[in-house]
Amino acid sequence: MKNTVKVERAIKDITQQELAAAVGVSRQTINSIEAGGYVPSAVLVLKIARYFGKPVESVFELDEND
Amino acid sequence: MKTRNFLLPYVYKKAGMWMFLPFAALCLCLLFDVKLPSIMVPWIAIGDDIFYAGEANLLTEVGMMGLLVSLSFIALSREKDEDEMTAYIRMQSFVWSLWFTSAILAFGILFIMGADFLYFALAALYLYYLVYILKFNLTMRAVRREGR
Repeated sequence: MKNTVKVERAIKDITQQELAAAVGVSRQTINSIEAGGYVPSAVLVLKIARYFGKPVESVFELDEND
Repeated sequence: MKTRNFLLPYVYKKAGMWMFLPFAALCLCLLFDVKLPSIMVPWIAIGDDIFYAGEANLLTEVGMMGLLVSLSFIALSREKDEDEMTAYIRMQSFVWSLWFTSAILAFGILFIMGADFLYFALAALYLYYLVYILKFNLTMRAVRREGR
C-alpha cells in the first residue's frame, strides 16, 4: 500500500513524533509506514486521514501488489 | 477500538530479565550435572499410578519453575512503546520461532537417541521462548534503529 503521509506531514509542518502522539502510536511506527515497511490497520489509517483532514484514498492507496 | 492483548505491564519484562540469569545458570548446572547440594523434600505430583507421592529435589523444581516464570515475564510483557506494529512484530516472531523450534525438534526426534534425547526434550521446552525473545527483540531493535 502506497501512502503520502510524509508529504502530508511536510505540508502540515509536523514531526513524526507529533503525528505519532496525535494518532496514539510510536514514532517508529510512523517511520515504518512512511518507508512502506509496515501496512497500518484500518483504524490507524482512518485516524491518520482524519488528522490530516483528508479522505483516506488521498493519503493511502492500493498498489499493484495488493 | 481497544483490543485485549493479555500482556503483562512493562515492569514484568525488567523483573524477568533480572530473574533470568540466576535461574538460567542454575538450570545449566542441573543440565550438565554440576555437583550441587540436593535438597530433597516431600512432593506430591502426577506420576506413577496416577499420583506420585515421594521426594523431589527442591533445586530442580525451583530452577525449572524460575526459568519458566522469568522467560514468561520477558516474552509476555508489553514494550514501553507498545502499539499495533509491536503487536504485528510479536505475532511474526511467534510464527518464526514456532517454525524454527519445530525444525530443531524434528532434527532431535530423528537424530538424537537414548538418554540424550530426554535432555534434549527438556531443553527444547524452553527453546521456543528463547527463540521468540531473541527474534522479537532483535526485530524491535532494528525497527528502532531504522527510525533514528
